[in-house]
Amino acid sequence: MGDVRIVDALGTHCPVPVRLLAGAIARVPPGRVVRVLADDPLVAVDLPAWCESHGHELVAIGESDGIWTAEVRHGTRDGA
Amino acid sequence: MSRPVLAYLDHSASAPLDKATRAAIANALDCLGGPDALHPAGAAAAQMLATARAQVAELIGSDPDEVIFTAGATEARNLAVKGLAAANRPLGPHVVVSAVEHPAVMSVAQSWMRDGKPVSTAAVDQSGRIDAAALAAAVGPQTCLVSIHHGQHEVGAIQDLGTLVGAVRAQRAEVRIHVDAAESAGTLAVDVTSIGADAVSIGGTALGAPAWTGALWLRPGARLHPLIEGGAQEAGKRAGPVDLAGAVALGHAADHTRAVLSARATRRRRQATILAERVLAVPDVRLNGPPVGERLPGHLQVSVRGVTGESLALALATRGVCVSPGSTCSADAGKASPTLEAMGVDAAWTRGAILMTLGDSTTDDELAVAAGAFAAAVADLRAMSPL
Repeated sequence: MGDVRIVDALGTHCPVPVRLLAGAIARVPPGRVVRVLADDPLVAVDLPAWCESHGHELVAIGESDGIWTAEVRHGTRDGA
Repeated sequence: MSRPVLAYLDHSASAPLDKATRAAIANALDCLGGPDALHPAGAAAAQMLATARAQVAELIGSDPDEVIFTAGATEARNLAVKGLAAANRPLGPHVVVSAVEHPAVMSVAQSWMRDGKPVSTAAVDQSGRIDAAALAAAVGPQTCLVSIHHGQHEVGAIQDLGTLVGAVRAQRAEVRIHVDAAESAGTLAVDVTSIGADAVSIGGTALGAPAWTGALWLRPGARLHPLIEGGAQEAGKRAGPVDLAGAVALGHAADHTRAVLSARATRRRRQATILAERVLAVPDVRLNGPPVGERLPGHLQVSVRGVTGESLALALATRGVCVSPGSTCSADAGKASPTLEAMGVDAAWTRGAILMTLGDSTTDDELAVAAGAFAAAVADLRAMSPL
């Protein structure tokens, strides 16, 4: 279903989007990108912080029509 | 004291579990841990759940990650139409359904209409087949969702999904499409990749699993809001502990269905042909929907002039024959069938429908008992009728 794994976290509230991202990241190899869709504005805060603390690269994050799209590349360091 | 069951012809409502599925459920019930737990008992549950998800995915040609377990087909349908419409609001507020969708879809559409949301219904022909031109004509620049079915739950019509989905996409490619395959997936091939929809509902009963089991396939990126919030279970689309025993049963039934699909369909069509010939030999009885060879295998709805479906179902019950009046989903409604009305069936027939659905356990002897009881019950009811 394409090179980018999509995590549809629409309709869920933090921390669920980050938990879903964590599960998806764990199942792709380093270097692969996971795209997260969410409509809880808190992802703009929680998701960059989680990427920073777990060693993953936040490639992009933006909002359109109330839907946040973030792309996260699996980094080489997985935090505890 | 309950009467003995001599012929059970209500398999689309609830079907007997085979021994292997029953054993799989018992095995799951013995599992202590939850699939999300970190301890070994949890790992065993997680493995069972993963296997079940893979089995369902294999039946419908999807990736396991795209399968969301639900509590029955009704929830799967609700999750699909409500969830897709809510998450895809930027596409527009308009929704299109066929005129003969299952109540689990139709009731949602009616609620939206009461709330002032624009909803269109696409017409069907006299056999219950959705008119592709009418469906396409209903789709506009504000349409976010189209919900259609594969096998019609009352009259057994089988929809040409390739033509219908293609017609919708030609009007507006980005429209979200839900296909309700809950009635069909046990006897007809359902390949989500070739269907081209965004979500497909399936139900346990049609596969041979308990009626309380079901699943929704969701295309990655289709965008769906959950109905139940509060956790990350089922990819965040259905919060709360998963029904492990139900999921295992559905997975087991899906695995079995994949192995027997063709033979099951052939057997049910043969038996439905036998039953239809005997039942339609009674005067003033008509088959609703397509001919036996063109409808859902083992699925027969007939109307009887001069009696109501409810009274006939009860008269058959006293003779040990189990059927549903008109539809398994509105057995106590006491109304003319909306499906038959949408098909343009004359009012003389719309209240006198009963639905007979066959299953893996149906025997030819049961068909003979049912046909004899049908003729006797119709004769008795007509003799009592003041008309």
